[in-house]
Amino acid sequence: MACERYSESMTDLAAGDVSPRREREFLLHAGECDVCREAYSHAREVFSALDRSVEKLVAGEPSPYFAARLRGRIAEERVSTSARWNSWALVAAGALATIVLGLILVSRLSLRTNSNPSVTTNAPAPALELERNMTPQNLSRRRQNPTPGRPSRAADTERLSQEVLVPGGQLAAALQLGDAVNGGGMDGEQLLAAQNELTKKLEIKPLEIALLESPNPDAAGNGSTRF
Amino acid sequence: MDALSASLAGSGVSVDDSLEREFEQRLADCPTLAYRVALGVLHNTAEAEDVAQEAMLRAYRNFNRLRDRERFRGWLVRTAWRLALDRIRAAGRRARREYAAIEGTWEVGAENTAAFREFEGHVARAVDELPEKQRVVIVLAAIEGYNTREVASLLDIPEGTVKSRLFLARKQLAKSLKWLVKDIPNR
Repeated sequence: MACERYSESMTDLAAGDVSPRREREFLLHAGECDVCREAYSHAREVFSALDRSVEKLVAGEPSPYFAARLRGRIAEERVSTSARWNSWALVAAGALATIVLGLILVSRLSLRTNSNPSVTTNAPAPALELERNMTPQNLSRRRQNPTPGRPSRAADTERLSQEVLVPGGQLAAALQLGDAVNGGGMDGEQLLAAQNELTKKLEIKPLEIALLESPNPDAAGNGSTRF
Repeated sequence: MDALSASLAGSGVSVDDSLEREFEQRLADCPTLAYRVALGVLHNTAEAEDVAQEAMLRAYRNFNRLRDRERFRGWLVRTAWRLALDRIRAAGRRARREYAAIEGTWEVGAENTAAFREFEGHVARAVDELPEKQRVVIVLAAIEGYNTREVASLLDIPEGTVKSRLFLARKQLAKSLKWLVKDIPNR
């Protein structure tokens, strides 16, 4: 005759998943009930067999070739790693050389550009107007309140460094001269001749004044003049 | 496996010799760990060897990135476990089941009866059906020498969690194999 009292909880009992009080109760019952005692014994054996089987799942050693194979693969890994490093070193060296060459080229180009300054001929306004606006007050105001959209101060500085500086009051003349030379309105020889003329010393001829001759010598001899 | 330790210890030629020596030492401390973990998942010695080799090679490649070298074993276990699962997924669950049943890859001693071999087959399949968290705990706990504290250390989880999962896993296995209770194989 089967005992149903602990049949549902036999697995828990065998696994130890019950309170100590309930386990004591069951053990007292199993001492008198052959069916429950046998079921409990079977369940315990199942767990024991389970544990043995799971242990067997992970038991064993790899084959004798395992170590040699692993050693070979690690050696290959070392070789491939060093080869990879070598190729990366080559790529890095090439990139560095390209950058250095580029920098040299850029610096040479900028040197060439700086050595050929030119007079700015594209004046945005008539020369006199421009000169009138270039007063010290206007310049300082511009520095403090730069116009939006205008090139930055650094750009201004760079642009100015490439221009010819003209003494104050002579900008209009310099611009006109530049226009005349570039437009072909003035000949170089003519300009040189004018410059030579300016450097020549002025010759001052003595003023010759002819003596006045009196028409009546007697009148002059009287010494009396009437006004 | 001592041969592996000895051969690895004697083959240290690299850019960073000290790092290599440390790796070899770490590996020598747990020479069969990756293999056994993989075997617990794959139930096939050849496949387990492949996975263990791959896991060890990955460990070698990334050893310099491991901040806490004391966690090498746990790192190796997780790598081997993940690789083994990947291999199973790649092969297909169904194919794996048939494969495991046919191969009967766990070593069977002369004293084992046919009934016990069959029982082992059922246990292996029941283990495979467990949730992954319970499965990894029961496999690691079955590896010789690992108690719950060591399993907790390997998986970087509290020991209480390991005990709980282990308990649930065993109970689940027993329930799965309940129909075998009447015919418990004696060995």
